[in-house]
Amino acid sequence: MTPPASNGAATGPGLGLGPGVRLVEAGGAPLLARPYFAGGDPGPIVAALALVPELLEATAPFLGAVLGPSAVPLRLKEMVILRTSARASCRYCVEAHTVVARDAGLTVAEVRALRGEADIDGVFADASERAAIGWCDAVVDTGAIPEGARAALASSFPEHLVVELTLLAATTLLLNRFCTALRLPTSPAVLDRLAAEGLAAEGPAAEGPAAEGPAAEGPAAEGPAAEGPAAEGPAAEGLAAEGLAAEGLAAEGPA
Amino acid sequence: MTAGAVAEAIASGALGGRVWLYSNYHCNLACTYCLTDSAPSSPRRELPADAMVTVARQAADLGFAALGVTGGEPFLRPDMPDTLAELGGILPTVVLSNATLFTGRRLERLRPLAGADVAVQVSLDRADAPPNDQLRGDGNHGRVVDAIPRLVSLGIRVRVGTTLDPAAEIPEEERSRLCELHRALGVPDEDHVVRPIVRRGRAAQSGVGVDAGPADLPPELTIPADGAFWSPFGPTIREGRPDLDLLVTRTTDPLSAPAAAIARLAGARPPGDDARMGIR
Repeated sequence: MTPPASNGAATGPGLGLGPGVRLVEAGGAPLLARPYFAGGDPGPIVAALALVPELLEATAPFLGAVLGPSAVPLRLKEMVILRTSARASCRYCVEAHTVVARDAGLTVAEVRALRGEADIDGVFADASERAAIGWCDAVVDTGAIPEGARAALASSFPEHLVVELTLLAATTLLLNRFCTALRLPTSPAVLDRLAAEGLAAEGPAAEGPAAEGPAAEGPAAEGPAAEGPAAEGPAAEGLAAEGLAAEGLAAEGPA
Repeated sequence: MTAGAVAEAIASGALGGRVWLYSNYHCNLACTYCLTDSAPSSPRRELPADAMVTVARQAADLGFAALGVTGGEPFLRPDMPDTLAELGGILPTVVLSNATLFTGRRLERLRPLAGADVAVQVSLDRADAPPNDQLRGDGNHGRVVDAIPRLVSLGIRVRVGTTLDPAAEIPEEERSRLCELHRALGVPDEDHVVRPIVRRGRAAQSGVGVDAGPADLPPELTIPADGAFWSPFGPTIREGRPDLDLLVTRTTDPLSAPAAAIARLAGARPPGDDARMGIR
């Protein structure tokens, strides 16, 4: 299987710059956005979306539904998110979801392969997992979807999971482009964790925007989510809560 | 939430019946307590006239009962008198002004307001020129006192708005003289509004006024160029950027979107909570 075109943890122009948009802080959060800040720093995705509170109100439940606990097992879910993010070269999402993937039980070797730093076939023995990974590559890449990838996925998963995996990859891709375009900063806690596990991005990425945004001053939204808002919500029972917390979407926002 | 729910929130008093429009943010004055940090060089942040009329029409459809126009100094815009006359034909309108521009051609341009359902609320903070002008700029008191009779003689309803720092100890005798003054200028007591300085914008930099959050401020849908806010005290400026803490939505058209959102927010808090500071 072809590795991603580039390692998602590496970034090009923009390195060393701060966030590309104002990140709202708790004290200045708009009225409709305040529930998302109630449990602490909700992370830069929410902090950026809070600039348009009515879109945060609409987007957060959608993202929570797609990225949160569902019929797709957590391990597979994080594989899709990490692979899609790497394929789309999203530094922020790769860094955040490397941590979540490790917490979900993926090995360092598996994480490296998903990030395009090792061969997929040599690490993932399960055909259905390889089919899901191939499907991520197909969804991210422009142009026609290869029939082989479609057939491999269809032979491995029932229809409803085909739909959900596709929506998961597509939604991840949306977030990839959002986070990359807006140069969202990775929290210091995530960078520390990546460094501790030897999974920090090579090159200067780890010294990039992360330390400069407001998120650098708050509690780690993307870190092991046990301390985050997710831990208090209904999703806290499973590791899926950590994935949501990585996106800052686990807070029990307004219904 | 439906338009009916917005009308219900207005009728019950949970939501203020006046929609405020920030016509622009620049001003010929630079008062020490200005919420919007306005000055001659401030970015204009203008709300186009057709957008104001659209808001007014939709506000009437939703059940709002009145409009307010503020700034900045609205009358720096040459199109303001005609726009106000149009707004007044849709809903009763009050426009806040420093009244320092009403001479010559600018005074003539106000003729469309004669007989229109538009009141001009003029800022006059103190009975005497020195303390007034310390807040509002040299010569302000004299210009305002000169302008009010001119407006009245044109047939324009004039109100006087007095903004005070609650920490400033203003003798009762001076307050009485201020009331005598506005009466003498043709403005009756029911058209004299007194309110505290709210510590936002330049007032925060100057360290004056009262701290007021959404619990203290009556919900009154307010539309500047940047979105829809909780109150006319909401779209303040800090370091050149609008404060967002009282932002409701960025969407302003259709007006039902922010109206429904503010009605939902207003409905979630105890009634009468905002009466404590008398900020109206």
